[in-house]
Amino acid sequence: MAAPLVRNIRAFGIFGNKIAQIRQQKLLFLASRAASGSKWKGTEVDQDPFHYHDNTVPYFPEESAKKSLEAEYPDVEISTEDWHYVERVLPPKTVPEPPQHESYPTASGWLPPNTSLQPKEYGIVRTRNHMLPLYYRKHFHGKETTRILHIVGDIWKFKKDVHDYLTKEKGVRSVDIQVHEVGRFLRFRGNHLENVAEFLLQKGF
Amino acid sequence: MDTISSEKLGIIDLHPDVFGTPPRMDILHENVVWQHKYRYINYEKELSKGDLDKRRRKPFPQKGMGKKRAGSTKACNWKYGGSAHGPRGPYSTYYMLSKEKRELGLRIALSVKYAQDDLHIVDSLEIPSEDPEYLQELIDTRYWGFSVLFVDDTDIMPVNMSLAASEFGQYNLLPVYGLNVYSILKHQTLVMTLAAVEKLEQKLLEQMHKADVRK
Repeated sequence: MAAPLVRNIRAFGIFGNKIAQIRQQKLLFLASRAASGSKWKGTEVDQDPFHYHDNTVPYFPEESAKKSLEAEYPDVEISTEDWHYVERVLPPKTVPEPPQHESYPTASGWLPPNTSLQPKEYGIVRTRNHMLPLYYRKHFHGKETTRILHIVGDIWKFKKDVHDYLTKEKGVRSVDIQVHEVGRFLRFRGNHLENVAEFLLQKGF
Repeated sequence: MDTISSEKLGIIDLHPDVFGTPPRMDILHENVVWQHKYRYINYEKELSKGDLDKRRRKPFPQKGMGKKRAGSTKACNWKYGGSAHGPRGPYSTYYMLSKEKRELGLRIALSVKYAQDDLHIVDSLEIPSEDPEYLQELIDTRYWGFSVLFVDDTDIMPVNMSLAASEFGQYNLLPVYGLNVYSILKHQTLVMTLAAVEKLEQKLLEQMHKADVRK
């Protein structure tokens, strides 16, 4: 046998028009009090106790402006002349396409992907900011990892090519590479950021 | 959808980022679990010491009875006493999955359906008659399976289609804004209108290439 969870009947809430009744009684009470001026001085109730504001009716300022425009003497004018100044300030929703430069690489060292150099077996999707999906991380205990994300196609061939490039051409003694086939990424032990970036640009990604 | 057997009307390009994402089961699972949990409320409850409707007096004097010292009969070590650390009341398991994962889950579900040849694209959902047998025959002849989800770009569906589909529990209509991973996985085939595909692609690509992303 449990005790009633809600002991106060008021906690259930008051339904229907009882709210309006109570509000009216309260306002009348306050008004009578203010008129007598016994306890609360300076509290004068100017509100109509029978005033009822319908909150369910929506308020559209644009509609009312249109109505006034149709009137004989309109008090509002709608103009979109200066809107392009506002649009210029607003941030773009999506990242725009990169502009055409005169020469590559640009002053910041950015290169566009070159489709003619790309191999057919595998590929890499650039990030939304048109950069290589290369990430270097230094962990808390000093461990360093490098990752290549968004790999499409034959990931094992890609791993073999990167491994060969690092060991044979760059003279790195040994590289540990994890191949995540489901997550579509490679993870290197150590900091190979610059070498891997060179390899990717050489392949045209 | 005018005829019972299918007719090829044309070829469209599906974006590889939306309909060709590599499948990941963990993301799908996370989405399904989230969809269950964010609307689930746990009603488990046990009565604690304060909830019991019992006298709260000392049951017998402290000394002189040859019994244990007892303060109340509601303690958890007593028979018919309250529970000490039981589940307390209804609580919600609501949480929000990150926007990236929701969007990725939708893309994966779509590309999985497409890879399994269970995604069909039609020009519109209008059928000539409101007879449910017509819809049944159409689905049987096209081998669309036991359950079909029809997706349109608006939420005002054609009259004949909605009347026919209302006779069945397994054929459902959805607007694009209501499309979700659980519904896609629950239904055997997914039938989308051309307008719905374009709208969905545009929305998903916009989300993928959003400018103000923070990680």
